[in-house]
Amino acid sequence: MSGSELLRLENVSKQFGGLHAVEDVSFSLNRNEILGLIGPNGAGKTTCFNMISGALKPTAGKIFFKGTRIDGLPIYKIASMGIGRTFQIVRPFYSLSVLQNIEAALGMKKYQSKFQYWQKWDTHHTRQKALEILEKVGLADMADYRAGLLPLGNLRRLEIARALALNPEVLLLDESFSGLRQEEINKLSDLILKIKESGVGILLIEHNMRVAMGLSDRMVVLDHGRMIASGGPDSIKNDPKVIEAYLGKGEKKHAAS
Amino acid sequence: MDSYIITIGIFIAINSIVVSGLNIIVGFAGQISLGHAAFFGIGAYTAAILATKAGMSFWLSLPIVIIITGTIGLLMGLPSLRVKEDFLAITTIGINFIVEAFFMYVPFFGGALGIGGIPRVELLGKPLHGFSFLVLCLSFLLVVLLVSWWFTKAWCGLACFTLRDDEVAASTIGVSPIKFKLLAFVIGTAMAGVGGALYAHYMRFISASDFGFPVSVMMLSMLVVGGMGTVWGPILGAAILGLLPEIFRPLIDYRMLLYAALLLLVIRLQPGGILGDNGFVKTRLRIFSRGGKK
Repeated sequence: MSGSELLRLENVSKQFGGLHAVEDVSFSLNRNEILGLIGPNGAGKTTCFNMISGALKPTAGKIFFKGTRIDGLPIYKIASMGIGRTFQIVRPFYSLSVLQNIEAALGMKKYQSKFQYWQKWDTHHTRQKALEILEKVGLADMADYRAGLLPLGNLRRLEIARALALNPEVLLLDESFSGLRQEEINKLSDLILKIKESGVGILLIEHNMRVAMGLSDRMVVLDHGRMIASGGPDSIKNDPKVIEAYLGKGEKKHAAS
Repeated sequence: MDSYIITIGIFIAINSIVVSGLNIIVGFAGQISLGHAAFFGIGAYTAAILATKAGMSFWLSLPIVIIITGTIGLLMGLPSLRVKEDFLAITTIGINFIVEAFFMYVPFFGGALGIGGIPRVELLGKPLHGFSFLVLCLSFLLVVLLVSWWFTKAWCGLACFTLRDDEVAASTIGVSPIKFKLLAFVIGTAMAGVGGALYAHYMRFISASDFGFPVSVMMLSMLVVGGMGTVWGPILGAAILGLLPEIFRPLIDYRMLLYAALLLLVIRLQPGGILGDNGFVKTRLRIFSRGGKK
């Protein structure tokens, strides 16, 4: 186990009745690294996320965060240890303002405390901190809007900002690029690279291959719950098993023609 | 002051206290409850029994009332960890019926005859009635309002708001649904307990039907009309629903119809309640603060 290793999955499986959503998957994530988790629809990527973040308990295998076993812990505990996540289908706090969404996340430590949660939250200090984070994702000018009124692209950034407010060491991004325009994608890529530079390990689920290949340092490919390949983007790109998973097996002559 | 007006004032103040408690559970933490009258009743019966059987004064029994109601509220909050929304509504209705049945059929609670002979509240050796009791109720309302207000300003309130909006997302920012839902239940039901104790000592006679399901519905109506999730909404709601039947005295037999019409109007025209986010009070204030421009 190297010192920079943040997250490690050991032979993790998840079964829903007779369905093996994830089977015997192992990988690890290091500091300052973006690990792309790709695979066709239904490959088990989001199930993996849900197991790491605590929404699901693996049926077998172990998950470690900085050497501590976290599988089976409740979501809020895992979050407070330093694992932030976003959702494929955005889940902002609709009735709160954009700023309050971030401020709420800044209270992570207070929520865990015995009595500190009776302290005032709407302070200048919290506001300033939340604005700084919004500044980073480029939402500062919308701070006072109700989150429910924001368009999708901004909601995705809001989710990242909310996860960043936890000051996480591991960030799980579930299709944060889907539904975004090219310029938005570029901006968000820059942001994610910056987050990586700051020492965070990022696990990225992404369907847009160009984005995934461009951002990831390493990649893990899942298909039908199994890990079929892992390695650098270039080796993944040319891996016949990966191509087969995405495009299907063709007759030789078809491929030739 | 006219004792008639004082009586209406006392009822509005007590209802405001109880509905403020409901607001913490439903308006702040988003856990629908249609059984709030049960806790109003638990508070009232605890105070009544401590006063008539143990001879305790209102002041001595009040902390016990708060602790007992809050503890039962904590236990009754447990279902909210498993069932949500419509199912939670039905579960809380069930709780209301069970508690009412307890009061009705257990002899210790006076059975169908209820409990009578509850003494008045005494302060410095003088019994409080009429205007002085109204002042007592208003002081408790002030405390309840302060707690509600502080709740919206404290981290625990913010945690409850996030739970109300999206429980899963709230968990991912470190909010424990168990802890904060139960906190809301304890505070909300304890407030109902305070209201119940005041009610018992004012009426000096209570019976199970005072705390039935229709009372829960009326409380939720007050909250919806006034504005869920606002600090002042419960008072406005309690005042409107308390005053309407008095103003339309000839229509007293149609009171429920009046409530229903009002509720429908509010849901149609002011879905967040009169003091709610897009309600007309806040909209007016916003326009006013912009110098009259729309």
